[in-house]
Amino acid sequence: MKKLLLALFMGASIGVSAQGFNLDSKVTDFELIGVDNAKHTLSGGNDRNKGAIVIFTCNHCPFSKAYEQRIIDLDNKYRSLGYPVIAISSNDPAIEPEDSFEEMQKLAAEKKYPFPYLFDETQEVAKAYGATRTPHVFVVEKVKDAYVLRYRGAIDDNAKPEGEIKKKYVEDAVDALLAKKKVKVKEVKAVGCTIKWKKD
Amino acid sequence: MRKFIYIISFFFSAQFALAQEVPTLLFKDILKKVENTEGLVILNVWATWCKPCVAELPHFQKVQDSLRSQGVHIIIASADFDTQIPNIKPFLEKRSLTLDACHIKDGGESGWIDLFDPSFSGAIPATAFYLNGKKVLFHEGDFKEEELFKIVNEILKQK
Repeated sequence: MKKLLLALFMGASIGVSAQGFNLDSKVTDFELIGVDNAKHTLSGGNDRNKGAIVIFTCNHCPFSKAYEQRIIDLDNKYRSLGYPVIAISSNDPAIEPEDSFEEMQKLAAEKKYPFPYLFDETQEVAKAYGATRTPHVFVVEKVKDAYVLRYRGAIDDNAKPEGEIKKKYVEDAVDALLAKKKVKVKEVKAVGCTIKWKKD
Repeated sequence: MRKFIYIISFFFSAQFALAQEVPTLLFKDILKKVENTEGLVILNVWATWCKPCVAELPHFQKVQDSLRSQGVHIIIASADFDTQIPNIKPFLEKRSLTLDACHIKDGGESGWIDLFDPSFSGAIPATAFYLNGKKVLFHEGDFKEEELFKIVNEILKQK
């Protein structure tokens, strides 16, 4: 019966399947326009980079807002160590006007984002990575000329702005990579806002 | 004087009613309640800040209003931050929503997500349908009204 219901429902909905890259597999590089009007790629940063912390986020989502300072802190802590933050917004501004490119530029300027904030207008990058929500983090490690996915999911274990954080998943993953160790916790789910997919 | 006391007590009880909050429960306890309920239970996870969630709540209300007699029971569980708890009830009342509401105490953590469904990524809204305590369908994303009715009617046919 479950199958029947699913079939029934799939026909009626515009489902975006979030497949994405597998853990410990190569990810595809991208080229997106940033709020600085320049093009950015995963590989195009500093040659000394050892990887990157790719974060799908956006302007409007309260969870993204709750994590905004923590995202800035991640970049400040890890950029010089070779793991800069690359923030990407993939939301359709037709659905969420607060997530338009102009609004992204305003917010980045106002909050002095130290990291590139990129606009994934076609939503292809979010689909390729299997991002479903904001914020949704992908820690990638540079291996020769490729980037390999080492961690996917939540930043830490408490989204609440004044909540007590017991586990900092992204930091633990990057610290392990910097120490040339295996990432122990490779995936952690968390609540977030759905990425606002274009309607057809 | 009696009348005065009556008015005063009425005022206080009204105040009390307004001050009531939705219960905040661990997700496993919400699930326990769902799994111990006969009929079709629909468990929807939402938040006051989540636009698509709020947009689909009236559809759930319509289902509840029209199919209650057929044993349909809807629970809306909010993943709002703790600080938002006092605002949930007024938020629902303002929109004339009388759905059975609660708050997910551990909603800011990650453990409950797989408990809801292993395929759940955490993006809300998300809804699961339980027939006599057994989950028959899970859906991440919102519903159009007709989609929701179609699914509910299909499940009720299997009862």
